[in-house]
Amino acid sequence: MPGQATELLLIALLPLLAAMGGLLLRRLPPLLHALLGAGSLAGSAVLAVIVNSRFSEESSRAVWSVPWINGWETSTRSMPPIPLALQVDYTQILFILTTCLIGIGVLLYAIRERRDDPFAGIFHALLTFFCGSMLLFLVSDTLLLMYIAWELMGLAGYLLIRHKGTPEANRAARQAFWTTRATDFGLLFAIFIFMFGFGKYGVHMVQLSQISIGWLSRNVPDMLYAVNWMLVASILVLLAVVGKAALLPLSFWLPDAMVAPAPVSALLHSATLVAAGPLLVSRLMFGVTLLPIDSRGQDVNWFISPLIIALFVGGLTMLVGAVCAACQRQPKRLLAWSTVSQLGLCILGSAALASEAARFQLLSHAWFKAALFLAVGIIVARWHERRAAQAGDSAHAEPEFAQLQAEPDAQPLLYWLGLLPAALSLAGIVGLAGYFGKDQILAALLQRSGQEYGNKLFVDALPGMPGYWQAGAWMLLFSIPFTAVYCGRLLAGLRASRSAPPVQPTAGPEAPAATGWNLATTVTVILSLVGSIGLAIFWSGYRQYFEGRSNQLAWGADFDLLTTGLALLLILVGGAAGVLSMSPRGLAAPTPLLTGLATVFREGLYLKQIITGFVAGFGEFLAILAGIADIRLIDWLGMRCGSTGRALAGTAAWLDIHFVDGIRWWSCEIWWIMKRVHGRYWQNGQIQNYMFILLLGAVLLCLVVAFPLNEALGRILGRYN
Amino acid sequence: MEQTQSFISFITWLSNPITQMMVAPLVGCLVICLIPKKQVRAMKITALVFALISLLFGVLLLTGLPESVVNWQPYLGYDTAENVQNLRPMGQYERFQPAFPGFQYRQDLEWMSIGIGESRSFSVHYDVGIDGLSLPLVLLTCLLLPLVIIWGWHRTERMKEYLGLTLFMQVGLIGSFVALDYVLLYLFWEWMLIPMYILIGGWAKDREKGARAGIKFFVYTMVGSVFLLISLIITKVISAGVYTFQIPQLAAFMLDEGYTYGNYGLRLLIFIGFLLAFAVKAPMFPLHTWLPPAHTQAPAEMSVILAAVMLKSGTYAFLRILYWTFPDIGYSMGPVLATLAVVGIIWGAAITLVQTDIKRMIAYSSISHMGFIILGAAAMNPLATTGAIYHMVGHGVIITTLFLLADAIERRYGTRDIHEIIGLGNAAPFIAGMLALSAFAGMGFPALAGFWGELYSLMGAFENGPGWQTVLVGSMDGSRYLQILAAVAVIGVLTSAVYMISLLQRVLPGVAPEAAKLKLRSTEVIVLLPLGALIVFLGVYPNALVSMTAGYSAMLDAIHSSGRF
Repeated sequence: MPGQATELLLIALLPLLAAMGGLLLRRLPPLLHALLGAGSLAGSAVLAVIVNSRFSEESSRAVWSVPWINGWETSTRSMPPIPLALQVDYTQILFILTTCLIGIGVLLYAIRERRDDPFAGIFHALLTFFCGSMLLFLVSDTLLLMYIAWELMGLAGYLLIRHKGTPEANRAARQAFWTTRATDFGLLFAIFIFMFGFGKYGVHMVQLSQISIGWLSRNVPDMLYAVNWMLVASILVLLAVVGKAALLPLSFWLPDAMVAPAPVSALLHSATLVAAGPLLVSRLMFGVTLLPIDSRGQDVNWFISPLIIALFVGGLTMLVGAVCAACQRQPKRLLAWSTVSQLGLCILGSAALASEAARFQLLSHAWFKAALFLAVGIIVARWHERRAAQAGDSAHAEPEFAQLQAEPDAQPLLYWLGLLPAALSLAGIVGLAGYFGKDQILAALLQRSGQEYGNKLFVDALPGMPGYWQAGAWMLLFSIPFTAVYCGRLLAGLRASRSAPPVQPTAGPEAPAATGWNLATTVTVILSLVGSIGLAIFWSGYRQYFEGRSNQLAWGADFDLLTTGLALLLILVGGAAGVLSMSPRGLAAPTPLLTGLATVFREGLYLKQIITGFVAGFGEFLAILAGIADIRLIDWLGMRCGSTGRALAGTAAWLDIHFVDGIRWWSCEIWWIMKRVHGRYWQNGQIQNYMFILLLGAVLLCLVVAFPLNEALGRILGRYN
Repeated sequence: MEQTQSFISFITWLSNPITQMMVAPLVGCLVICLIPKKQVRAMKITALVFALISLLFGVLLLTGLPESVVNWQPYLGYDTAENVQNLRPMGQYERFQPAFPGFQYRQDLEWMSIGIGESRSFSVHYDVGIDGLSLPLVLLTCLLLPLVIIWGWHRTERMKEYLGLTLFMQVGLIGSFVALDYVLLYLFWEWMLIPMYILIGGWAKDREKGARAGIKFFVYTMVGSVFLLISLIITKVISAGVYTFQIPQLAAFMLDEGYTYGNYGLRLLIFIGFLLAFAVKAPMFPLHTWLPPAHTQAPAEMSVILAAVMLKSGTYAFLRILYWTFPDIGYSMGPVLATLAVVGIIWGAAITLVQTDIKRMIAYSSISHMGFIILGAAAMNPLATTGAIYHMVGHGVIITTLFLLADAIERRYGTRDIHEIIGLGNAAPFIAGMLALSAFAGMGFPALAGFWGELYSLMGAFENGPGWQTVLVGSMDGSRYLQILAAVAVIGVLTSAVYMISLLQRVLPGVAPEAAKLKLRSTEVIVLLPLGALIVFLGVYPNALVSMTAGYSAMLDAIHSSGRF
């Protein structure tokens, strides 16, 4: 066990503290905010390098841990204390460095981008907070801490997406926050299962090496029960990933989040928030899904195997995302759908049991996608600023390709060194960084769908699995040309079209508003070059490192003639189609069927309208119903109890007056009768009448009282006699 | 001789820190009565000072005094078997020991005894003590009282009555958390009710509506109290051989003999009687409709006390009495309670969505949150009860902040209708920031005060425990049923994210009207800053409360795993 590596704490804490300081010292100039954030991220990066330099052959993990939540112990049950534990290994170091460096780049870029924003300081602090929460996610080992970081990322994303404060920004931010938070409960409940079902409190405990069939059979008495819980847990983790990484049924929030400023998109899509999804899969679920490799797994019902779910969710997201991206008209939305597609690819990679390749794909995607967003951001911002300078038009509607083509931006450096390498890498041109991960995933899928391979491992437990993998391979092959199509469209759409009129030389020098992008351009170019060429050079080292020690079952050749050639062919055809579609002729003559299909895919299959419409409509309906029922029914019942009581009390009061308090009543009644009778008929002043009444009274008295009394007395006396 | 006796017992009575904590506001109340009516400032200062003294005693319970100072306190113990058993001499300022499974600072004095001849029929005790369940709530009460007095510093209307009643109410509030005798509990239970009724009705903006809301609150709670009274009397009557009303003694009897010989149906009826009393107070789902009007009409400070402390006395008694005295019936009624709790969570959250009055919104959201506490209580295991206790405190702090912010907003905009409030971020950045913080805490966001309570409640419901496997819900295992309920309860948390974000997005952005741009009061800062700090502190350092409840959890678990039922 290595000693306490305090650097790990600082890696996450430095940016978070810098962000907190930035939020408290709002009055500082924005430049200082950006530099503070960038400095803290640079510090984290240096610390990560230091931690990495201490890794050796026997121990490639760094750990830091302090007591956090007390445990308890009673006669029957106990809960061990939960420590606040941080732990990193080599992969996490890579992602920490990526997050820090992209974060620094984005912050430097944002200095110019947010020049006219009165809240630029807060914006920079929030960007730092975003990176800091991602770093906390990366270094955390305690599951609960990881969940906290996961949620903090959602919060930072929410605050940044709504930064512009416009109604669309607010709506997009709400949508993103609610969608991700709803699915995050999957992660929370999965953590419950890990904690209480299996007694695992840390990420490293959940990973493959720790929970195996052997461990389960030793530690959990009811084996089948345990495996079923494990399946439930991994499906729940997958649910959280579907929300956070914008996988298929819930991918609508990501394109809508494009209203955010370009730096936010660059961070959100590359190194933070959405990247956490595939990372979570490779950290938690991958180990879990491998569980069934055992002869005893036969009994388990594999129909809902999370591996199959991951495979199809990932594959379909990849394919549909690519098609949707190819149909977009706005560059930023195109990139957003492209992110959806690439994240699907990463999940597919995990499901193909090529987790290391998927992680490399995620890594290179972070770099080139950040570069693409920043490049598009520069072009769009300059377009806006030119328009504002020319026409005084300060509307911030997102421009479409056609508008950008009409007023092309002459920045050869940005186009040729910033946009082009990143786009080619995204398309997967052989030899660039984006190629290797995808190639390995394809190789893995093809390998595992082969019969002998399937027999060896899975056929016993999962009879259909090789076929599923084959389907995954087909989906990947189909998505390659579409990826090339949208890359081609992007490249062609951001360039002056041949037939467009040349840029009118404006009178005098370029408007001053659109200058000052040099630093931003430099940052973009660096990110792009790293994301295409730098990581391609790094690939062999990465592969060498993991070939010996990873869980990946087998690695394919890097340059296999068949797959490489096929992929290159598909990319070239697709790219040509994409470029052609942006040419005037391509724009002019679409068939109605194609236009309709393109509209459906441009809207993301209308999934957003369907899902949000259903959830919001149904939820609001129920809420209104409950609101009415609460007053009209429940409160009414309560009040009815009250009024029933009141009615009873009124009855009691009436009874009280008229019967219980009877003396008064009876006396009144008798008085009334006496008065009537006496006054009218008898009190007439004639003496004989009075005498008659007296006589009558005496007789009545004798009859009613005296005789019975005498009788009774006689009997009583007689008895005593 | 007679005089010496009573003097010593008075000293004895007063030597206990808990008693001192309760006596301080009472003295303050008397002092305020003596101050002339025009000296408003003096009255406010007096009230604040005595509330702070009470807080000081509360903090001393937690921290204790240094050794050298402890020695001056004479030990005038009232030795009962219970006291000796609990190993805890009273009247000394020692530190609260979280792991101790029993009551600390206990004071058990015979208050009155009714006897015929030699054989005593029964006696009522002045029996107070704290443990991990009551200490957090007592501290919360003692902390909130000074804060609401400061918040109402600008008030001028009938201050003598207002402050006097507030301090008078504090005695009842603390008392209901520390009383260990049924009669004493009932006394304090009613004690806090009357000042609250007068304060809701008498200081409301709209007197007529306020009076009506106050009466509704009073009648609902009184009906509950009647059931409490009936149940406690029957409990005493069927416990042959117990000559006091003390809760521990009666609980011990019920656990030992009541279960073996007792009539299940009768004890179920007693349980339901207690339950009705506590459910009205908490409030649990179908009995909650008195709460929104009371909150809407009451002055902000009283909404705070009502939501943050008084509702908690219902769930406190839940945990204190029901699961201690009738654990077996607790299990058989558990599914019903948990179901009602989850229905309340979702019901309250759904209704919050469609409210337009901020205070009404907060009131319904608090019904939803009380559901989590009841769920934690109903799950009956250490994790879940820890969650319930944590959420009682966490929700108390959050709801206080929200109600005070609603008051601050109403002062600026003259309305509480969220459609008419815009640009709060522009008009009052501090208030807006606090609103954002407490709204996020209210939706159970991680690393804020609302998170751990909900988390522990859900974890406890999910983990449940061996006792639940014997319960059947239809054909389903009780433990599985609870797990499903925990998953369903998540809908409530999610809905809270929806209404809180909607509130923020409706209220914060935009341009504020000029009239709303009032200067920030210093009292607003003084009150809200500590509350905000507490929200963050409870979020990042859960151990502060989790470890405090260890002894209580151990005691509860010892009962529940004793195998006697």
